[in-house]
Formats: sequence, structure tokens, C-alpha cells
Amino acid sequence: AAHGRGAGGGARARMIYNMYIFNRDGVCLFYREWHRSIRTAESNQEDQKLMFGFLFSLKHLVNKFTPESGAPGFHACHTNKFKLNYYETMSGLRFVINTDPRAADMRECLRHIYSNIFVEFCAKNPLYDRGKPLDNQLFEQSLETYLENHPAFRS
Amino acid sequence: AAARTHRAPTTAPARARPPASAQNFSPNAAKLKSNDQLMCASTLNGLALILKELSPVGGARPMAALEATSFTLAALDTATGLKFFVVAEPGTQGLDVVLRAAYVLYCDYVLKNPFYELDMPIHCDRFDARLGRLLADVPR
Repeated sequence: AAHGRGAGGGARARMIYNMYIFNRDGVCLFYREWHRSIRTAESNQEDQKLMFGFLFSLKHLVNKFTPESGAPGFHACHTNKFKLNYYETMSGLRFVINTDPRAADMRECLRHIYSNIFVEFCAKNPLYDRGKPLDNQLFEQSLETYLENHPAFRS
Repeated sequence: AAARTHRAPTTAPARARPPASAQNFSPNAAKLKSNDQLMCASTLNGLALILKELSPVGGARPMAALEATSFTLAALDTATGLKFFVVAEPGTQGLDVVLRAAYVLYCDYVLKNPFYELDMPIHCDRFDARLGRLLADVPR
């Protein structure tokens, strides 16, 4: 259902393109796309590795530019065509959502996805295996429901 | 507090030159030694291109802006392969306009200077003075 949305073309403001979740070791726990028109990497795995490498290097660069008294970390970067929203937890989990560049601040949305969806359905699940990609129906359903109803993404 | 900016134009990645100019305009700016500045500028150049590769939609250009907790960074890529970027206090607006104005200053005071050699470090007093005035006037 989500894939059919916005198929009319034309102005598609505030749209979500895709999402990644990585753990601190670089394993991609979750990847989902809603609207993706091009793919430069040969496979999803290559794309995920590139994304993780990018985030890793960017984090170090941000540390270099952060003044001594400043708080570390970053939450977004963008190009003319898309905006990459980022949230990193204390435990090293990294949440990335790529959206339309005009989308609003996604920090609260990502924080909600972590605290209220990931923690509830994954971390608290006794069968959750930390190093492996997620395979959790409840998590995916809640995530879809939350994003589809998020005010910024009703297209 | 004065607008905190640190600026460094670099050339296109194919030539990988060190920054022609990198200056701090505020005591709050991160203190980077010239070697670090070189490294940061090259890293940023590379990462800007990788972000373009990661794009889920076609027609993306390299990274134009980066929002961090304690600073915001804006970049400008010119048609000739030059790259300008500025680091400022979080929430500063209009940095793309500032970068365009800096580009104009570069063209007027550096490129049109008959003694300036392309890709060499910039040592033009007038350029520095005008740039300083431009950045001092950035709206908070």
C-alpha cells in the first residue's frame, strides 16, 4: 500500500525514501525502501556498507569541526534532492531515514522510532539476537503504521 | 557572540589540492592545525560525493549542508570545480547566500589579481578584509 502512494508524479513534498538501522558493529539490522528511483551500488549489501562507512567517517569529521565546548554529534545532512536524517543512540545503534529535502526536522520521529518501536518490539523481545538483521513482524508493522500516519508523510 | 565561521575553498577532487584558504573568524571555532585543515577539507570533499552516491533519487548534487548539534556547515560547488564551505553556529540562516557572495569576492579579488597563481594559497589582503566584513554581517 505504501508503495502505491504518490504514484501520480508531480510535486511530492515531504516524502520518505528509505530507512536503515545499523548496530555499532556495522551490521545492517533493518532496511526498507518506500520510494527509491535509482540505485548506484550493485546490491543492497554494498549500499548498506557504503552508508555505514559514510556515517562512520562523517561522525569523525563532525568531531573535528566541533568546538571544544560544543556537544558532539549531527542529525542531518542534505543535498538538493534528498535529506539524510540521523539518530544515534548511546548504545551505538544508528537510525537513518532519507527524506525529501523539504521535510521537517526528523529528530523527534527517529527518537520515537527508537524508544517506542524498536525498544518495545525488538530490544524487549527475548528472542532478539543482537548481531543479526531484524526479523520481527510486529516491529515492521508498527513502524509502517507510525510512518504512514506521521503528519509529515501523508502524501 | 560573533558569528562563528571557518572557511576553506578547495579545488575539485581530481586534482586534490590543499585548501587555498582556511580561516577562523571566531574564537569559538574548532582549533585545527593546518595539517588537520587539509585532512578535513579532503575528507569533506570525499564525503560530499559519497552522499551523492547514496541518493535514492536521481539528479543529486554533492552535500550542500550538514546540521550538527553544535555547528552547521554549508557548502558550495561551483561550475569550475571549486568548493567553498563555511562552518557556523547552529541555526544560522542564509549561508548559501553568504557562500555565493564569498565566491563573487574570490572572483573579484583573487582571480582578477594578476599576481595570483591558480591553486596556490591565497594571500590577498583585500580579499581577506572584504571576506571578514561579509562574514561579520551574517544575520544571526
